[in-house]
Amino acid sequence: MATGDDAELVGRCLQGDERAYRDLIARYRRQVYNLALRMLRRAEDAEDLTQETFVRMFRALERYDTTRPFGAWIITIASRLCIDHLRRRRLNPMSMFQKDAASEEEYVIEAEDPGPGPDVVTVHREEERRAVDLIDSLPEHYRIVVMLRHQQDLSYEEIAEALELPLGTVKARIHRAREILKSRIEGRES
Amino acid sequence: MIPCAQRDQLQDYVDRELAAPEALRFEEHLAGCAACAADLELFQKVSALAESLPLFDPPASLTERVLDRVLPSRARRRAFIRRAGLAYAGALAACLATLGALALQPGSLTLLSALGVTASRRLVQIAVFTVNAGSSTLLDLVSGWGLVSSAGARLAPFGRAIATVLGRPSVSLTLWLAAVACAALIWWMRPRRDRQGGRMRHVGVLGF
Repeated sequence: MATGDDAELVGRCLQGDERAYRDLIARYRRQVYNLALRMLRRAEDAEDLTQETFVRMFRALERYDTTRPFGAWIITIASRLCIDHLRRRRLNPMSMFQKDAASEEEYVIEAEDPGPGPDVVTVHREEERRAVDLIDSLPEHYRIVVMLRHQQDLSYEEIAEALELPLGTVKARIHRAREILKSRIEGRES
Repeated sequence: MIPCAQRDQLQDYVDRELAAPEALRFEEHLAGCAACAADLELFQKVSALAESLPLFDPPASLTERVLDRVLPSRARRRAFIRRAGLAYAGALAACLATLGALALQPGSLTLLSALGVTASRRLVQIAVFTVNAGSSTLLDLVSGWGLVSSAGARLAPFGRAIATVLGRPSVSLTLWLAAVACAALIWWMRPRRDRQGGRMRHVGVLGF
């Protein structure tokens, strides 16, 4: 359920109060931006996605069910946009040509967009860099569940609803993602 | 290490998804199972790692960009600007269409050129009349108050004194040097582009 503050802000937004719009953005901009940043790994894309999330949220505000937590609702919008964005990226892969030594024929290699570009946000502290590297090394479908569970503090049910997945699948993905991270930490420590 | 049969419960325990009695039983198991205890430690490290991700702030301009797109007052302003633009474009198109239709009429070019000549002559006449009327009114006012003659009489001694002083070579040379120094200072303080980044160099004095 939405907290009292959130419900009040939503009510004021629906009356067109600019201050409430600003407060609602200020309250959730960091959460949305950091989810987008970890998923898309490009500061510019994360910024666009954050903007789009808020625009969609405000346009759908009249339909918002106040019995649901507001934070989970906006993160749901952001997560679905992230998934759409990543899907589009996969549909527009980078094409590279390689020449076959035997036949002298050129063939196309379709490689997935590698993600981080030159404008990726720089992390200075060593332990934070390690955390970012490990999380970024996860495949997208594992990365998003880890982010929603650990960074956004969503329950299994909320993650299942946000990603439109069965509860069992969410649980299995979180467990699998943790196993992968565990084995990588073990590998580093040994 | 041999995998433990109860290991499946480990992640549920980390997530606090186990009911209280089950959690208690699992804690008792942990006390005697080295494999599960070691895994638990690693899973806790994983959780800590995922929670220790650095958080960044999006640019401040983001709020304004969102508000521009969703705030009803700004949306109304945008709609008004769009409607005004469309009305302006419509009026312009109507004017151009009328002019085009007129130009296509027989004898309309002669009529248009005659209209143009008359209009430009009238405009010049209006401008000359306005300048004449303004200047004569000003002169009437000034002479009526006796401002010109009295100001001249009062300022004449000062003018003569300044001319005498400026006539001395040392004073005029000093003034010339001061003028050159001022010009050089202003030249030095001009806004300049940074060679590396194309950025404007900061010049703090006098707000240049």
